[in-house]
Amino acid sequence: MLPILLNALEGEEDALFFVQFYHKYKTDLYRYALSLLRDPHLAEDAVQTAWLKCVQHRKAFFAVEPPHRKAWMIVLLKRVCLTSLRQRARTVPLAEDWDPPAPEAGQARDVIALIRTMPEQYRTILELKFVLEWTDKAIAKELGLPVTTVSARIRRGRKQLQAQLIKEGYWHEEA
Amino acid sequence: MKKHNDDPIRQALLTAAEEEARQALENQPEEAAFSPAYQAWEARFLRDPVACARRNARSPWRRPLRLAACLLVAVSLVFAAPSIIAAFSQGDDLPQVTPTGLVVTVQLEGRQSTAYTCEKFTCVSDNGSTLWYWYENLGASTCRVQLYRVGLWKDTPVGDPLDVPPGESRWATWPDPGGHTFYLRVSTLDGGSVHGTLRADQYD
Repeated sequence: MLPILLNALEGEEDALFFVQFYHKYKTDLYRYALSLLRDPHLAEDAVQTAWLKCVQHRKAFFAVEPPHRKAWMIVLLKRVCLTSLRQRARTVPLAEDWDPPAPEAGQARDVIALIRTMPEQYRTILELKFVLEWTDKAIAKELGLPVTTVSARIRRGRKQLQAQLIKEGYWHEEA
Repeated sequence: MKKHNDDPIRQALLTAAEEEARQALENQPEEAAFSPAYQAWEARFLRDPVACARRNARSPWRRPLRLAACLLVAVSLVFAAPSIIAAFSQGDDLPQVTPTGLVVTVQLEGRQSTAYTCEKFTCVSDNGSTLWYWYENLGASTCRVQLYRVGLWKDTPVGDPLDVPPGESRWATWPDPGGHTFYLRVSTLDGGSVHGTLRADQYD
């Protein structure tokens, strides 16, 4: 039986969607946090924080296309996990632990592979900017970087990805 | 949904994140046992997610600061000299003044005694030039209210005694109380029980 959330979210429909979404992905998100943090308690903390942030930024969450909402939560959760690792002085960036796949044939894979081979500092900034829609100032504060550095990396990362997307035919200039 | 030029970048980043997570999950055990603490949190969260998120968003310093402020006020009330407001002269109705210092108020209820003596209080000049005291008689016996000034050797009654009939209130003042310690004594004239409200203030 799903709990009915009265006056909790934008409307009853959104409330029911959120509860269903929560139950559907809570285990996967926890397992993902566990893969990053390697500690069940830290993983639970991270997941709780991520869900709370999701509600805090529920307008942004519901603005995301439904098929991408899980990925949005994943990005949010990864951010929380990285913050947790940084706070515990475990400074090894996650990218070094991963072994991204070689670029595959097929256009859709190239840009994804590019993102996965991108230096973590650029990728984090781009995710915060374009997925979670943070301002440059908020990103700078979160990462402990000057705002000018953040803005420069956004420009550079955006340019890099845009070039690849144009090459693959995925970039459409708006009229 | 808002569409902007960077939508392809956004979607590519989302797709990349989801793919990474999928690969990471392939190496993780399927089972994930949530702790009882998490389950308790989950129940609270799903009951009212917005309230949970709001509580979580509060500054971590807010609660300790609020507690410290309350403690500071409480300590000030306990240890500060009971400064009281001064009055004007004797009368029946409560004077319409704003206290400048702490108010000493005693509720005398349920006592089976024929007299009551309040705790000593010291007046501070900065809190006012007049000591005002007032008694509301809620009992069945006429009460006499007498102000005493604590002396080095003995306590001295000061000012005229207030005789307060049942169901009525009276007040009186004493000038320049600063630097002196006083107390008030309420006693019935016919041996009945004391029942009422005693109050003393200091003001300018």
